[in-house]
Amino acid sequence: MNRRQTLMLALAGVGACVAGALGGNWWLTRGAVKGEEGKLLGASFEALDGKTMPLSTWQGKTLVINFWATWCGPCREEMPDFVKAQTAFAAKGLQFVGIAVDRRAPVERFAKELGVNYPVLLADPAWLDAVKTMGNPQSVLPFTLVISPKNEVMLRRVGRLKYSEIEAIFA
Amino acid sequence: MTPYKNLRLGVASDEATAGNLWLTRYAVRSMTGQRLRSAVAAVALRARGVVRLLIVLAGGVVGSSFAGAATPAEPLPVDVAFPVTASFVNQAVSIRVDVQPGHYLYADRFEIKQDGAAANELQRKLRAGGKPKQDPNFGLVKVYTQAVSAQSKPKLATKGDAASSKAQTQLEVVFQGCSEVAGICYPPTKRVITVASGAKDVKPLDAEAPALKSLFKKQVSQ
Repeated sequence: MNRRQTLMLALAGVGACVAGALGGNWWLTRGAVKGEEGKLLGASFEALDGKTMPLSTWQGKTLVINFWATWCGPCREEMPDFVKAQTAFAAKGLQFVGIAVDRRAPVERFAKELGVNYPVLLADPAWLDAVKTMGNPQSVLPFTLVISPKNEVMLRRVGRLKYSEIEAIFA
Repeated sequence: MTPYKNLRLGVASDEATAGNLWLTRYAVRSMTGQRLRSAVAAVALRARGVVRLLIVLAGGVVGSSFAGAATPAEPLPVDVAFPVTASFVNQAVSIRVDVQPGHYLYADRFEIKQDGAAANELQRKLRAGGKPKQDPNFGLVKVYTQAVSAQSKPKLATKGDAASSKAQTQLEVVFQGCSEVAGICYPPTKRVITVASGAKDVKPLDAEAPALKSLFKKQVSQ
């Protein structure tokens, strides 16, 4: 094997690494909405103002559904990025919806303190069981789903969702 | 058509050229048994091609692994992250909760019941420990990053006390923790352990079937 062949082989290996990294992540996170996700998109939740809001209200948007709770530190840490992203990409069709698996009083307090600029809904704890089949088998928080305007799951994230990842959706 | 020409059709151009040169030199040196040797050469060349293909595929697998490494670790099941055991010896109860590396439990979120009633002594002991952690969200909190245990005072047997001795006891342990390595928090988790008198290190029966909804009715009722 001469130097040129070795170089070509090395480049092919690097290319495969990159394709594997991108493709692997794509394969793990994307997919059509079905099962429990379908139920979620068809469900209604109580908003902080007491009104019942169906998630279908935001159909046609790039919908970021973030399950969180005030007792969850990592959830609180990622939310300032969501506030920033909602402002930056609202014109491009981005809509965050926070679903708090928590009591009303601490949720209201934290949402006000942070200046959350997107709808915050309250969920029955049973939704923590439901998220198991949506890509969150341990029912942990935070958990975020990004749904395309065509009702396709663009991203499932157990743990923190970074601003750069939201930005990349609209790049 | 010679096996040599067949080879040219079967491999990529660079490979074919290298193989051709090698085979040509070989053919000049010895024309005897050419077919057999060419067949062996064909197998060797194909094997090299397969090795190259495997290297490229391995690159893809490594790349996929890096994709996983780039994102935080997959959360452990709560019963693996925080395994709970209990003992009941000399009518004294002890509870132990282990903590996996990279995980922590909030001390003040322990709630303990024994046979349906608040087990204040055990709960107080579990809440009293832990090391201070300056949490960006909750301020100064106390957390356990290693195993935590607490024991109630043993009841000394006295005359006529046999009737009050329990053959078994039931413990309810509620705890809440997070994983720093996965960047997540587990919801408040309740485990029920029935321990026979004299039994040690008994695990909860409901470890694989957490009743989240019933637990949350108390913890986060709206």
